Amino acid sequence: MRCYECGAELNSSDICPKCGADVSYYKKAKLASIQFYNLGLARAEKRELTSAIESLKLAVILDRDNIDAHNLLGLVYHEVGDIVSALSEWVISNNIVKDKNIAGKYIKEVQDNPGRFEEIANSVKNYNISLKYAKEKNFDLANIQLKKVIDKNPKLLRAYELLALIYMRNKEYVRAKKLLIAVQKIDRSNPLAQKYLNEIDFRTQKKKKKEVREEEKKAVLDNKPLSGNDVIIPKSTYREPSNGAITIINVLVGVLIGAALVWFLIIPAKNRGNSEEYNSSIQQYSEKLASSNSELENLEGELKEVKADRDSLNEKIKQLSSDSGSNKLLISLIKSADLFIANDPNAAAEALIDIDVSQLPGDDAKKLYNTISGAVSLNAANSFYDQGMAAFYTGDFAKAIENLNKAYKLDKTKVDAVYNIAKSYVALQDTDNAKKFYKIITDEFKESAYVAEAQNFLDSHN
Amino acid sequence: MIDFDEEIKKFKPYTEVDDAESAIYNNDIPDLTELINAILESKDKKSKR
Repeated sequence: MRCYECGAELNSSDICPKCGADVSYYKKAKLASIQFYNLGLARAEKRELTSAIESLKLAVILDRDNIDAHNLLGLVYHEVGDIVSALSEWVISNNIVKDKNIAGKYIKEVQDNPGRFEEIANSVKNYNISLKYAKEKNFDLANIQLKKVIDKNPKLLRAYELLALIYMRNKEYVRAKKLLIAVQKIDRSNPLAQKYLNEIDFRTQKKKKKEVREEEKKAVLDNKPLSGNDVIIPKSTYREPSNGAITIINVLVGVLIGAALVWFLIIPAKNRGNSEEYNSSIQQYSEKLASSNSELENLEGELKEVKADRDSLNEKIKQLSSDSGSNKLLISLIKSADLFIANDPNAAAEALIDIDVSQLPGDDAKKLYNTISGAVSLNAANSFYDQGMAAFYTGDFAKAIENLNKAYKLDKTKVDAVYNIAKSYVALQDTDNAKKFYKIITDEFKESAYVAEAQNFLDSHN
Repeated sequence: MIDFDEEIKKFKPYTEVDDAESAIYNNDIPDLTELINAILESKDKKSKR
């Protein structure tokens, strides 16, 4: 243990041997932090994650430099689906101690899987949207969204809890119970899951008791003794004559008559019906075949026309130089369209980045650009922003700049991207480029919260 | 008995990745040692007056 004032190694005394500072409460706080960390660790090992979080939070409040507590807290947050809180703890831990700190490894693992990180980030966003729907009582929409969230991020516990609550509201107790049991498999000490399970048990027992009471009531009515209004019907004394031979003869005659009916009446009618059905089917298939042939001829005709158009366009493209300005833009636009059709919206957006729509030849090209841009740009901007910030947090400022630039080019309202590009350049000690981006903030985002900081930087680096 | 309307109020949204930076900066709260030091310093200042 080291002194908080001078960093000297402490001994058993409550006074620092080097600077004389009173370290009694400091030592107590550190020791208490270690105890809470150990408690948190024990709980985490038993998968009592909610309780573990409470203990570990206390550990870091008592001693902010307890990196083991930060690392474990981040891990537990990650396990319950709260990725932002997890990253916060790891970044703080990494800033306290960079060397041989497992937090660096955790951050790198997140950074090395940008696709999965984006999926988790989107699931968090969609959970928040579902919560909004639920609070607005749009339960069907909330239900649909929450199922998708759970499918993409099976550890997002609050999604399970919210969906279970909605099911309980709709009295779908079996479904709710299944979700809550899944929560308890991840987090044994989840208090909300236990509370809801107790409620479900209470309601289902109440229902069973009601059913038992109704059955008892029915049994009582059935066994009720006779009263003056009841009518007794005497049993009939008529009996059928029982002679074995006559019975057998009757049965045989019945079988013979039945067989005759089937042979002379039913089979011929069935045969007639079958042949009529066959004839009708043949006619239907003939008609369908004729119509399909006709359709095939039409399609072949259309295909010929499309092929001719394509060949003609290809010919025109060959005739024109591919290096000239507007043709290069068209080629990028077509590439973007191909990627969009292939369901790769981020790549489609990336292909649009360097196209200046005003330079595109013709209204059709501009219309195509606007259609694709409208469908992909905003989502792609968010995706590039997330990737840029992930790189920023791990200190990969060059990659952060690359992705944040793409985000800004796709969404010119993204002041956060501009701000973080500037900060990345500051981290790389590239003052000129940092000034360039701070200037964009002061010129184009006058209302933003970053303006004062941007202006200070520009004034101090003139 | 669980009241849905009361329960739903307890559900809070998650912090999204876009807000992660401010979440990390806001996490910079003093720990117990810093708090005690701050209290002792203010106590010293008052006694000196």
